[in-house]
Amino acid sequence: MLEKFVEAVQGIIADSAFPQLLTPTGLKQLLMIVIACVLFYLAIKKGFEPLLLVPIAFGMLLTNLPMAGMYHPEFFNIQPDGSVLNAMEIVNHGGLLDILYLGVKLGIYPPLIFLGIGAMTDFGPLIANPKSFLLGAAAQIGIFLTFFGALALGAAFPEAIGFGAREAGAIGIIGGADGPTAIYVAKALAPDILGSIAVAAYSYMALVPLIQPPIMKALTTKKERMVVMEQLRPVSRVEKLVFPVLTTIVVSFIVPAAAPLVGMLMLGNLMKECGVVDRLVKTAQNELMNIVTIFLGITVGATATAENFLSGKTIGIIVLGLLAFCCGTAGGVLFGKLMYVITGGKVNPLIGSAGVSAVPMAARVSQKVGQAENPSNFLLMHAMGPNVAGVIGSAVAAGVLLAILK
Amino acid sequence: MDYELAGSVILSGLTIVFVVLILLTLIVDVLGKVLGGVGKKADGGGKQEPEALVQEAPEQAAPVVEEGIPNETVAVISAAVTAALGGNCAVRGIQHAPAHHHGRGRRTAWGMAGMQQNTSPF
Repeated sequence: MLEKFVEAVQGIIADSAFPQLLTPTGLKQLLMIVIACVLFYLAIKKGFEPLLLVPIAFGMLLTNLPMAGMYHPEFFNIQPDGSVLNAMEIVNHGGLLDILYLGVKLGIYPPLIFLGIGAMTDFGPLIANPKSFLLGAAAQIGIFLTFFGALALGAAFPEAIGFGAREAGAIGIIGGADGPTAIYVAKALAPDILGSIAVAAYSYMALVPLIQPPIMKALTTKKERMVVMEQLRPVSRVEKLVFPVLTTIVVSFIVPAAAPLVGMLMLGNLMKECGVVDRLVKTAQNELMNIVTIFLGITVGATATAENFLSGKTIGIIVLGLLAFCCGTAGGVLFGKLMYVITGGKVNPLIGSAGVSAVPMAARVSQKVGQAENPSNFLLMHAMGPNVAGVIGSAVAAGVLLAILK
Repeated sequence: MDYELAGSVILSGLTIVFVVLILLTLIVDVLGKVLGGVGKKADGGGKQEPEALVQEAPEQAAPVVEEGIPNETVAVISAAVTAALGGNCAVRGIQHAPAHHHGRGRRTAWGMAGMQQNTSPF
């Protein structure tokens, strides 16, 4: 009997994950578990976008547990018949995260997140000052400059990094400073590096208050930073109702690939503004948003397997992600300076940096930097215009990249 | 590195983003001029109300507040009452109310309000 007991215990140990740690793959997975714990620390203790980073880090942890079998990247490779995933394998042998990842792979979760964002966004400051659209457009320069940078880096280090055009497009969209948009583009263009892109995008979004101010101060003069802008005109309810419908039609006709993102954003906003579907608005703002955030975060984190994450590409993505944010901020501020000159000093260039669509953090940064120069200057609502315009701008840029590179 | 591809993506991408957003700028600008008049009329009527309220406000006596209730709580309650009833009211006094037990469920006023809200669609 004792022999049988020892055999049973040995069998359990042999079938457990511990022997895997002695293999090279197991050691990499252990390192990924440590990285996941570092992300927990950043999210929980330091407050780095915890709503997304906590599920992303936990997804990273789950996927790197040896022999857990919760996520199988090979099920989501392009199949010989051209289909984007192996549906039969997923249904018959898929783990929990394989099933949940379908929402990412099929492009469902990011538009649903945008539905919730639209239900929480007030486009009033943008409607009151439509020139803010131009600042939102200018800030998307970061996306395309980073695209160039990624191609250049890939050409410089072909073995270690070797980014192609599709991967460069997926990395460039980090410059849009919009998590759902970055995930939407990355899952289509470069699903292998989706995890790294998501971690970089959300980490840098949390660092916006650190990244932006030095660039804003370097590119503007004190006189420009002290500009007090005229109060925004009141916006009628009819304008707020017509705006989402018109924007959806205009954007979708010109860039059809952006229709899912912009359409859901504007649906959420129309629901909020019409005032006759309060229950739906509450659901979109709360329950729906929270459920999709959990599923999105955990499955995006699950794509960060040791094989995909521990490579030169991840280092390249981290460097390029910073470049994207810096170029986006600089682009917005420089266009703000141009508007300052054209309008004869009526536009404060600081609001240009808010064109980076990290809502509402980038607008708060503009307010803070402006108030540091002139304590009676309230730029927040003026900066919200470019801030929400940047959400639309980054969705349009995403549509363009998908249309050209997919 | 494929400079031709890089150049074409950057040029076409930026052009399309700017074209779309410039178009939206023009449309929203026109929209504001055409529909913004509705907002101006509403503001014209609205501007009279704050003056009326300002004229009435000095006549109202300060509410009688039970000892121990902080000023911040008084301000919050007054603001909530004004927002709910549209400003045509005056808060005369604020005091703690004894807890009421509603039937066998012993629900508080908040609990009753929540139940009513959740069951009203049915």
